[in-house]
Amino acid sequence: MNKVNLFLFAIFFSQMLFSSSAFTDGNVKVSISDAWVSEAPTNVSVLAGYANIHNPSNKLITLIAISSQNFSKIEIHRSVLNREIISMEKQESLEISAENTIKLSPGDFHLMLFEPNKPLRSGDTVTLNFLFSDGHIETIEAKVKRRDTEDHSHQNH
Amino acid sequence: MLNKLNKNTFLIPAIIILATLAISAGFYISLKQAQQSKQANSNIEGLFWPNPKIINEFSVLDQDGNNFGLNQMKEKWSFMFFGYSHCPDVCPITMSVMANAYKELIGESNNLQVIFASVDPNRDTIEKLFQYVRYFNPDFIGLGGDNQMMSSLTSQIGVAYYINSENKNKDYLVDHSASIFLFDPVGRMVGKISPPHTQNKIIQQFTNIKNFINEQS
Repeated sequence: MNKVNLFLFAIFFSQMLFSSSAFTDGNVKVSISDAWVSEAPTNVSVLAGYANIHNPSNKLITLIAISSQNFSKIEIHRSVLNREIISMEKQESLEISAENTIKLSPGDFHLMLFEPNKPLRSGDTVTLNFLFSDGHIETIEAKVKRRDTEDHSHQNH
Repeated sequence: MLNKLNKNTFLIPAIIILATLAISAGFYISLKQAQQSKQANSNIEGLFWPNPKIINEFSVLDQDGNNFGLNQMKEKWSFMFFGYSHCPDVCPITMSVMANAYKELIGESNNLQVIFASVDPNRDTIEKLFQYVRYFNPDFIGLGGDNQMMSSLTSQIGVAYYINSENKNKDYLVDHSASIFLFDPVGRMVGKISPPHTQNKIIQQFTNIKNFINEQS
């Protein structure tokens, strides 16, 4: 009897772990907030996008692609400063560990948005589709904003 | 008695010589100390002192297509930052922060200029540079030209940059120095402001370096 229970539990547990439907159909969907795209001079053909990606589930999830009708291509990059040399490192994917949030923010991880299909000005909105390793697609609207570079410490004074 | 007198005739000049030596040594030491206290000021962050970099003539083009060389660096303090327009994250961050700092600094003195020098002159044409720098501030200067022109400037400053040729298509990336270089009104490179940049950091470091250089002249 005990053995059967254990067997059933094992099946149930493995389904919890490996079934994507259990993840996406439940209430533990990945959530994306504070998404925005930086406004840039009109003739610039690459823009940066930022957002917070929260994984409320109890297992790691991987962001594998981002697509949008507004851009020809979107990549995940990270700005890395090493001995005062700045370089951008392309990320093939982005892992978000269980119950964790990854912040795509200025000077760090960011989306590199290639060739907008029309000039984007502050106040415009673009649609971004985030594809995750479990097959789930999260579609969000991101506002185009001018960079706010005021020091926050400065602003509070 | 004679012996004593003899001794004194040698002793007195010897004392005089020793005293003179002591006084000059004292002078020398206090002079050295004064110099050292001046050098202690060179603990100012980012200051290149006592060896500022002397910049020789260079020839590039500005955002209007005019020649830009050492003469255009004279009688003004210049902030120079290297980047490229296909850099969507760090370059516009630095330019925006620099624009805010400039707005604040230009209120106090008008002998300032901000220069964005392209490390990707092939894609950053003069027309592109014009729109790029004006977006951040209409006073900003953009420098470009061809690779040879740009290296007449970058090689002197010692700016490290290289085309990251992992993908050899048109979307290549350029790794580059992220510091803001500071030039005095004689055209000497007297310091740099290291990343990460904030408006306060730029204003503070610039003010300290400028005050120090002005004290030296």
